[in-house]
Amino acid sequence: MGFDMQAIKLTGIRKTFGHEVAVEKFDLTVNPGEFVTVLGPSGCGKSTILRIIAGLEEPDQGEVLLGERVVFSHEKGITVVPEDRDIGLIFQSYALWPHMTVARNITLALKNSKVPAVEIEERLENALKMVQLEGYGKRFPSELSGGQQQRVAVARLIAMQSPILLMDEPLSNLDAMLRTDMRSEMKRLHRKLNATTIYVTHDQVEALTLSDVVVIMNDGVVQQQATPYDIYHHPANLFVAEFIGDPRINMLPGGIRQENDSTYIDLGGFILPFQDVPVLKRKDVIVTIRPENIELSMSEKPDWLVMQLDTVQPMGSETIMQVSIGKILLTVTKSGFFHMDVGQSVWLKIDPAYFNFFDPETGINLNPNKKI
Amino acid sequence: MQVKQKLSAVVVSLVFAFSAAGISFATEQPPPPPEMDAWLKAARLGSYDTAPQDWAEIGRMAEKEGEVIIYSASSRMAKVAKKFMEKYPAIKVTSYDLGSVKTIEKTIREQDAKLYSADIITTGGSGQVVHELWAKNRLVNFVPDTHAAQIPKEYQEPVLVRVLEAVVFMYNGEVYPDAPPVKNIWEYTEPKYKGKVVLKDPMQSLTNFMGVATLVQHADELAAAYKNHTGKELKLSEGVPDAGYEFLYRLMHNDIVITKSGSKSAAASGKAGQKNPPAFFGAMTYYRYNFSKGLVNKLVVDLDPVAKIIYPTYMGIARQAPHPNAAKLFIAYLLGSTEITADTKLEPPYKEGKSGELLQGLSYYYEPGSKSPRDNVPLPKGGEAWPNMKAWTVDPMFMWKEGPKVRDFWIQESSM
Amino acid sequence: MNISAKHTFSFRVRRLINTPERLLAAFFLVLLVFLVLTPLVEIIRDALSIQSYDLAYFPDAEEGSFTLFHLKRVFTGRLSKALFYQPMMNSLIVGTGVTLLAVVIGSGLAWLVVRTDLPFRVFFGSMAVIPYMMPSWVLALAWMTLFKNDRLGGATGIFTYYTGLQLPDWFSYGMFPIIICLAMHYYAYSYLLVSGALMTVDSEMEEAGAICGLSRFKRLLLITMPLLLPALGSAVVLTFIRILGTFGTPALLGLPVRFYTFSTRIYTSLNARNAGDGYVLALVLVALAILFIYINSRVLGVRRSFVTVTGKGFRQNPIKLGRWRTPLTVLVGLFTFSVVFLPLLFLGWESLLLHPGEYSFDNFTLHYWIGQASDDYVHGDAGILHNDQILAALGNSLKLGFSAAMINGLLGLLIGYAIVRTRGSWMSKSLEATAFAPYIFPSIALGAIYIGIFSTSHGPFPALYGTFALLVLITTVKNLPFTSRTGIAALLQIDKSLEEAARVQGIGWLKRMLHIIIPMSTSGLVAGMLLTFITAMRELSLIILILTPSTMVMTGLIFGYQSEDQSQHAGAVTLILVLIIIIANILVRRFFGDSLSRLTQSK
Repeated sequence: MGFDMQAIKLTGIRKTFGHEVAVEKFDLTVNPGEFVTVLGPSGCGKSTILRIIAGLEEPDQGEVLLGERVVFSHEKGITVVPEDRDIGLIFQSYALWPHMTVARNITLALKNSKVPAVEIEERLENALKMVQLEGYGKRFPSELSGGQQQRVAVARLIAMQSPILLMDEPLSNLDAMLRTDMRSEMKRLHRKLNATTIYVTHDQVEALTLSDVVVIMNDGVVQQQATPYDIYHHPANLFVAEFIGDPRINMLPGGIRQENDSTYIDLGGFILPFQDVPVLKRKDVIVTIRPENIELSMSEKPDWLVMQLDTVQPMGSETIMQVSIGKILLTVTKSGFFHMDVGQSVWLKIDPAYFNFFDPETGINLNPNKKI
Repeated sequence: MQVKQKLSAVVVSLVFAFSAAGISFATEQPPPPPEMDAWLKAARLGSYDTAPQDWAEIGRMAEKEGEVIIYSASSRMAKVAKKFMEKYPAIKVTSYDLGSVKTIEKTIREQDAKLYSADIITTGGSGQVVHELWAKNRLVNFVPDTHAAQIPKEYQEPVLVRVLEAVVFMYNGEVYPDAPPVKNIWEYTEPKYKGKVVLKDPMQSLTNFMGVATLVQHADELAAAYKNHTGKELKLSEGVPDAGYEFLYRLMHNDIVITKSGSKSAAASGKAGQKNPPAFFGAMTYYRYNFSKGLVNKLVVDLDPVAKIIYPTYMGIARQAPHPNAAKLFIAYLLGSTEITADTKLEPPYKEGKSGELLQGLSYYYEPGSKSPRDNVPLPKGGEAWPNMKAWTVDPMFMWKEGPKVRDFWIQESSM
Repeated sequence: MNISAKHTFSFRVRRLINTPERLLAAFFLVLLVFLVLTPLVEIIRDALSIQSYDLAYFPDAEEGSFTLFHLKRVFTGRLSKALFYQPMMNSLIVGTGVTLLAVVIGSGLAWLVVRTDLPFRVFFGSMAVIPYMMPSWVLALAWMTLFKNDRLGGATGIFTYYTGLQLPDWFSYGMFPIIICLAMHYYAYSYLLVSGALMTVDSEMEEAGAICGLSRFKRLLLITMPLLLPALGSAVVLTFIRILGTFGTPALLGLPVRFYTFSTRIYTSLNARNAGDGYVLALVLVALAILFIYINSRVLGVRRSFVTVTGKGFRQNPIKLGRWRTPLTVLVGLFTFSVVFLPLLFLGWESLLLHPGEYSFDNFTLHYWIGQASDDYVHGDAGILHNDQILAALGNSLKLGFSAAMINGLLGLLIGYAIVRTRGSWMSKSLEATAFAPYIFPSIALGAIYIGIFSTSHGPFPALYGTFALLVLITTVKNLPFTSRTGIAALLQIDKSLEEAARVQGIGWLKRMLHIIIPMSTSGLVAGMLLTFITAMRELSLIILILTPSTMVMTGLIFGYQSEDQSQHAGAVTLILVLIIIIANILVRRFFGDSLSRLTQSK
């Protein structure tokens, strides 16, 4: 395309609205061409971050760099207005102008800058083609379906050819099937456009599938900034562990026991022998294990833990099961379509190698660098 | 559509009346419909009126009725009502000040809807009172025989006059202390008075309209006055039918100043301290502001061909009035005590004391510019000039027949 | 064979009871057609038949017979220039001028208050609607008091009093001050509509424009303004039609220089009982209004509702005015002062003058407020605080205001309900149009017609002439356009599913209204009621012909005082009236929030 890829750098960003702290000491470095997702529940501050980068909100402290340019610095008193930042932004509502045609929606910015008319036409055609809306130029937004409107918003972005793309939950208004399709489209788009992208969402599936780096936020504070793999396998704290993964990770309070030379983990309903506990000086921990890391057998297996089947949810490619022993409830997923009776006995194999250990008070991962 | 048929019958008879009369009171009151006739009988009105009238009986019946309701075009009537109630505490008086147009409108509308709630109707608007109310049996004439001898016939028929007022010209007495600046009415149409004649909009003031229309009516006299003033014959402007309209034409095109308020126009000419005040045309009663507001207006007493145009305010009993005897009593009260003679000394304040007692209903209208229809009531202080001013009287027939045309003429010539 | 279930009679009845919207719609349609269209038919009929006034021209004619005389007279006769063409030209010019000025002022003010960081903007916003609460001719009175020249002689205007200079006629009277005074009064419509729209236009639209590199000015031009077009269009229509029929100000300011408008001509015709002229002119007004509405809807096109319903609405940070801040604040401050406080000041001042027109301090007196009746003073009326007449009129005004507001609010809601729930059907559309129709009738004509209709009884309606009920009725009908629109807006916000959930639980229609619909439409309801109250309190031309002393209201009294030139009383009573209206507005705001602006948000 026609530009050099730009990095985005935020340092020490703090933003309050009245008494509310929306963002607390936020740092982020996005390398040129990277796809970074800011993930978190509603109200965690992710949209605010995006708007700060776009220039639609002004932080109370910190610095924002786009490429080499300082577009905001509280100390130096620099602010660049959104009009001059040369970024592309997709709003959650798409913000299509209802009184303009699709073509005009896409090309308004271009017509405003000094791009020659011929090139505008080219870019328009190209953009429409890329979102598969050729021939829709003369329509009005009100005549389009939700999915088509979303694609017009994307086309607008494509036509603008900004080196930086910001996307604010662009898929959240689409129905489930469309969302899945569009997810792959977004990934493809990013590859084609080569633009540095920041993507905001509350959907962890999107975060995992699309990003190079995921930044998880909660209550204005960054919880973890890592690759999808690390986020998934080495959650920095309980919040991340719980937020990522569907179905939810199993969380059990556990006690470490030493008997003779062996170490055991007492999980309430059962005890597991456990080696390799160098880090764990504590007596009480929270233990987590993902449902897919628990092996389950319908037929009796010696040495395996026996538990009762509580609920069965066949999802098509896999089945989610909840099993119980005593007061403990575990979620297990098994590949395949199964239908079984409640109360039936099943046998589980739990490998402590898949455990993550968390401090019950702080929620922090006690062994984040452990290899899984 | 019984009413409409009745109306067309009346119209037919009116047509006969028009064609026969010209300018006179030759209007007939058609025979009353049955339910009105029954009421007339019970109330001893109209053809059932007794001669002499039994005032003791009337008084008794009035007290029994206990109430009287008046539709009036004058806000002062409410005060007369209060005074009446002091004399007759058993009778409750309610007076509705509606303004001249609405008094007639309301009366007609209500009676058409068969709502007969009013007892006395008193208002000006000669053409309408005579032709729309009286001639259509909406109003019944009642002349108290206690006063009849003192009232000239012309003020008794077809409807009794309550008070006579006049439309006059006035000027600022401070700027012209010795003599009035005009002798002839045509002077007002000359450049000296360009933009210097103020009057309340005749389209909104029935009084002023009647004044203007009556001027127009006397075309011959105006032509003669013109000759007196200039020595030449009057040449009519294009499209103007006669000397009367010509006068109006020239007056209007001399940049006449129209206002929304009568008293403001009186203040326009009469406020002290002005260097170049305009002249005033309108109700003579505004002369009283000289006393209450400190204005310095003076009447043009001597004017060729006319100094004042008299318009009567009538009073009559509404058809099927609920309290006819109380109404009779009130009408007599409005005429003032019979004890008054031409020699009676009446001193201000006229609403109190002996004068008040004598004047009764007349007391609130006893001011310069107003005159009782009775010929034996002395003129109020400041109003002595009345008999010296040459007068024309508003003619109901002319108002009825020609009024709309005068209106049209005014509309035509007054728009920019 | 017909597989679908047969609808039994009892089923139909139960369905009707529980979803009576169609019944309601039908009922109101019939009622409104009677109340609204009958006047129109009457006017047309009388315009085409001989009236008693016409007998002067046609002594032989029969009253009530068909004639084209009025049409010929008004449109083609000798008089037509003075009677029709000139006043029409004047009315159109005034209408256009006022509408332009009012829309510019109103939208500008709305933008400043809603979108920028103008200091004291909340204060200015709350003041913005106050001029509307005063009778429209108060500004004209203030103008006269200030700028009267000696053409009218008498007491000088304040400007001349203090400077000794005479102002030219074109400045003191006629088209110029009429346009200014009317614009200062009617900008409230534009302000309300545009500020409401500005608050609901999704700010992301403009943010997207900023992202695209559009400057603030370009965003205003290309994005904001087009989105405001429906609101602006409504403002233009409402203002223009209202101006065409307004009487007080043109009468006051136009008369001295013989500047006539439609309304003043209609009034003088009807006043002289010349129904023929009056009604033909009134019909022209109605036709003009309809034409205008039609043109407006065509120009705006099909894309009427540009308000995006994302729920986020307006969220943007206020635009910084920078170095324009101070000059604009001064400008808006001056403006607010001249249209809100100055007229009230004059009224108060006027009421304290012993002799009208003398503005020196030694001419001050409190007599007209607290004095006893005495013949030393003009007309001898008691000061207003002792005056029974005034107190009675006050009572009547309040009674009228409240009853009209209550009835109209409820009516508007029910009609809105019927229209929204039967949306799409011809009944819904006709009902909507009929409910809006009263707006296009010049008030003065409507008043005259209602006297005619209710002079006799019609079916279940008794002859209401002279009763207080007639006043309430006509006020209700005249304000129906407002309350039906707020009713519609309120109902549009209540999704059908809310009622359906209740139906499924067995809750009948009446209970649904009481527990769901009415509570949820409170702000719309209150807005409509407040507007009705305000208009009812300061209405004159509508009821002037119907008023009787027993039903006398404040505005009628003021009019009477003016005619008798009791300027002190007129000033004092007007002041009290305005204060009451303002207090009512404050109270409603205190309890129900800023309903007047919410009225225009949910379009």
